[in-house]
Amino acid sequence: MDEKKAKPEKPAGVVKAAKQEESAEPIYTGYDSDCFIERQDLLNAVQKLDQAGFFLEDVSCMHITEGFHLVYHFDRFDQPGRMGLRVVLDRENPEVDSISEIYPGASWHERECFDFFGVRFTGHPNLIPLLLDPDFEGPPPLLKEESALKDLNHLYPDRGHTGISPESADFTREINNCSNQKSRNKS
Amino acid sequence: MSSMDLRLDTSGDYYARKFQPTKREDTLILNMGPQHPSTHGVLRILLEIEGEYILRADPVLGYVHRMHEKMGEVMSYPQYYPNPPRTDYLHALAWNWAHVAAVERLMGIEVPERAEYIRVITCELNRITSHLLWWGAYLLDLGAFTPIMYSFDDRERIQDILQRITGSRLTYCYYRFGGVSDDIDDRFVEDTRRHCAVMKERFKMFKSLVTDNFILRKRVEEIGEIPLETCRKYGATGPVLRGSGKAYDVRRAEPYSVYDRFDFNIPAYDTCDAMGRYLVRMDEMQESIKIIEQALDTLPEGDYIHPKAPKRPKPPVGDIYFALEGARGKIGIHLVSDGGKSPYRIKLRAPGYSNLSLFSEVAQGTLISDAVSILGSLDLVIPEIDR
Amino acid sequence: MIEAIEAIPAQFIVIFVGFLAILAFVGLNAVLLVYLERKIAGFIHRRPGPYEVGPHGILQPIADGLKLVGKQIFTPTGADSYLFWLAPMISIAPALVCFIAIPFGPHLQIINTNVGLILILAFTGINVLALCIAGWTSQNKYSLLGAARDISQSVAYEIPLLITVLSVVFMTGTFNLFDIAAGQGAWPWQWYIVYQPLAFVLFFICVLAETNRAPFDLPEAESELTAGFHTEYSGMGFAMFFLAEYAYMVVASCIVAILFLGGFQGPIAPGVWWFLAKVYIVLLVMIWIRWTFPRVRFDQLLNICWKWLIPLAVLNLLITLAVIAL
Repeated sequence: MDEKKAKPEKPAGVVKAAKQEESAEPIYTGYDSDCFIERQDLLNAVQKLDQAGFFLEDVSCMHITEGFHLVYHFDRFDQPGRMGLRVVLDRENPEVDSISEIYPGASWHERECFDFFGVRFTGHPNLIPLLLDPDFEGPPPLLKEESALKDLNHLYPDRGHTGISPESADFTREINNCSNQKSRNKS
Repeated sequence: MSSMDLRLDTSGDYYARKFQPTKREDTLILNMGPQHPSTHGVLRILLEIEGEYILRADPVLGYVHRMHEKMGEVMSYPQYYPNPPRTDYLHALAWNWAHVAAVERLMGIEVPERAEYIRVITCELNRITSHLLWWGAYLLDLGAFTPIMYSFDDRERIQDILQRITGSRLTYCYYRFGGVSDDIDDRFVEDTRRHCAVMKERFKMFKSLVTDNFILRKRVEEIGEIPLETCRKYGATGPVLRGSGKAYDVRRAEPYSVYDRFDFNIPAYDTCDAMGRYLVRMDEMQESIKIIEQALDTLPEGDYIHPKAPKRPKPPVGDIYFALEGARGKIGIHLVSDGGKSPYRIKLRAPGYSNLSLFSEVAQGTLISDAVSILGSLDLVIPEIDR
Repeated sequence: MIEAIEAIPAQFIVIFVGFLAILAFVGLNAVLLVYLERKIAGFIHRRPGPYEVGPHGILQPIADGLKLVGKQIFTPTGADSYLFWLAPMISIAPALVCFIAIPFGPHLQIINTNVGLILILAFTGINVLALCIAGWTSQNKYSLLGAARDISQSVAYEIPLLITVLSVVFMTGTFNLFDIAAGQGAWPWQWYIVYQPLAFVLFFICVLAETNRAPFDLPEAESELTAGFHTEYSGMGFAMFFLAEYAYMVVASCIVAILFLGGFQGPIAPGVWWFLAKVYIVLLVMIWIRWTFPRVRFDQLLNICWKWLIPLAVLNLLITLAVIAL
């Protein structure tokens, strides 16, 4: 009850700074920090986020030309700030380590990705259909047709798509600096 | 005649068969739901019980799965307006808002100040109706029939107020890109003010009639204790998290709209039990009334929708994650645009999904009655979880 | 012909006519109680209650009855159909027998027997068997759990119930219900509730538990066990349990009225009206409690019994004995 958060100090005023309507770049992304990481580094990176006190918001998956793009969204209670971990999986072998050992709450999010995209999570204790009928036959429902697929360069232009190592100083800095204080002040 | 076969039929369905192998000889497998009075809709929970004690619990979802995410990909942005509110029909405006705001922010559409105030007022009114319904339904789960009639009384009055403005009573679809669909009038302001005053008196009655009841306290205190660490591991948010002692509210942690202009508390109780979650919601309704009254006092004049708001938006390439505080917790929308007129991918984060996922852990070793009490205290809306 | 009738012992004729009267009384009571319960619930909920069938909905119970009669009689697959349909009958029959020993007025009693109280307590005990059979043969796990709850609840609550009854019996020195009622005066301060307030409270709680009324309606807890032991019963099967529940409520209220509220004793008006008034006041309190409180949990229910009611009942009995001995 006593934990009332101090009102963020900021000038009462403008809702959002939006200048032009058809700006080329989004003004607000919702991510305070996001980075691509390699598939094999995922567990290591998530471990680090767990130690830093993040909680898992959800696991979002999308079908792209390269294969599958998984985004793990993390946020923090004490120092709010959203961290996105992006992993790109092969089309032929969409398989990634399950993080349900570290975050048991990820179990359902992973089952959902398995349902909708057919992505397999190695080490998942109970990888069975969750939202879809177990008798459902046919391709996973959220797979796109070949012609509709876009690649990473189209969806995420102007940025590198190679993973950084969770061991690197960059990653640690990203974790520590992940805070939405700046965007809060800006708004 | 043969005696009753205590075990589940060996030809049980897929989930029952998956659930069985670790079964002990002297236990009973009980299917709670999908048609059960206290699973609120079509949640099914597989329980392994010994006497009335639960050894294992496993929720089975998907009975009202409608694949809203796929619908988002094949519809244009305005066509998708009515879908998100239909996931969580109790706090529909919050979902409506999440969708609208995600697109607005991705495109940089400006929202007039008056529209933001209208959104705050209607969304908070909707939050009160959601909590009122939860309150009645929870007590129904605990065997008290009367409170739901009182809560419906108040809820109907709020719905009357909202109906005049939004045109619907439950699955509102009121917010538009760049504002709201219709302006509020003096009568709305008057009705809302009057009802806020009535509600304050009603909360006192609710407290003396129900909250202070000895039997109720015995049913909710020290039941379903969820430590803060469990909340974090499962990503539980909203009243569940605040009932575990962490005053985390998206309206404060990640302020959106004009929430930073209002003075309100974020109730949190560190008892971690069902009572904590109960009290958080009871307090939240009063905080919502505080917000509404402040917003009505300072309601600015102006447009209710941006005059140049695009009718058929085509957001630029990019992705956005927008989160806001719904009645059940953090509602999130992950929107990926490829520059086309419908999203490349839209992912809905339902707070109830994460909140329910911790049920198996919390329910272990409790009585069936307690499981009902815990389920109720999580405040589940199944269509939101199944999406 | 007349000789033939004269050849039948008068006692039998009394019992036969009495039984018919009881059937009418129980039926009428059920109709009245259903209506009252719904109207009072409506009043507590701030809604009108039944309003459509007849003026102020007074024909609603009849419509309900007709609906139940018209429903399909359904036996679940795998259920033992003999026992399954025997259970509702076992439930209702003893309830009817109980009424023959109840003194409705100074001259209105079918059999004035010295073991009236024992007779009623014995017959009401049979209801447990009915519920147990119903739960067991329904081939439904919720029913089974409901039956298990009912047995442990009934077994536990019989004990304090009997002990509190004993304190009154020791005071009066008789099991005869007529004598117990006649032993009390016409005015409230002459009733046993004044001498035995603790016993009254304990007895009333036990009555709520024995008749499976809220907040002790665990065997049929809707939000936990769907409908407990009568989950699988449709139409008249359900109606019989329903009728039995109301009949037991009336029996229990009669006992409360006789033991503690002076029975048919009262000033001015004839005894039978006083008796009915007292019975209905007790029933109204039961209805009022049902629509006000949440349900207790199962282990709490047994804790109340074993940790509070039984010790208090024994204490009450000992004090009564000490006072009588002095």
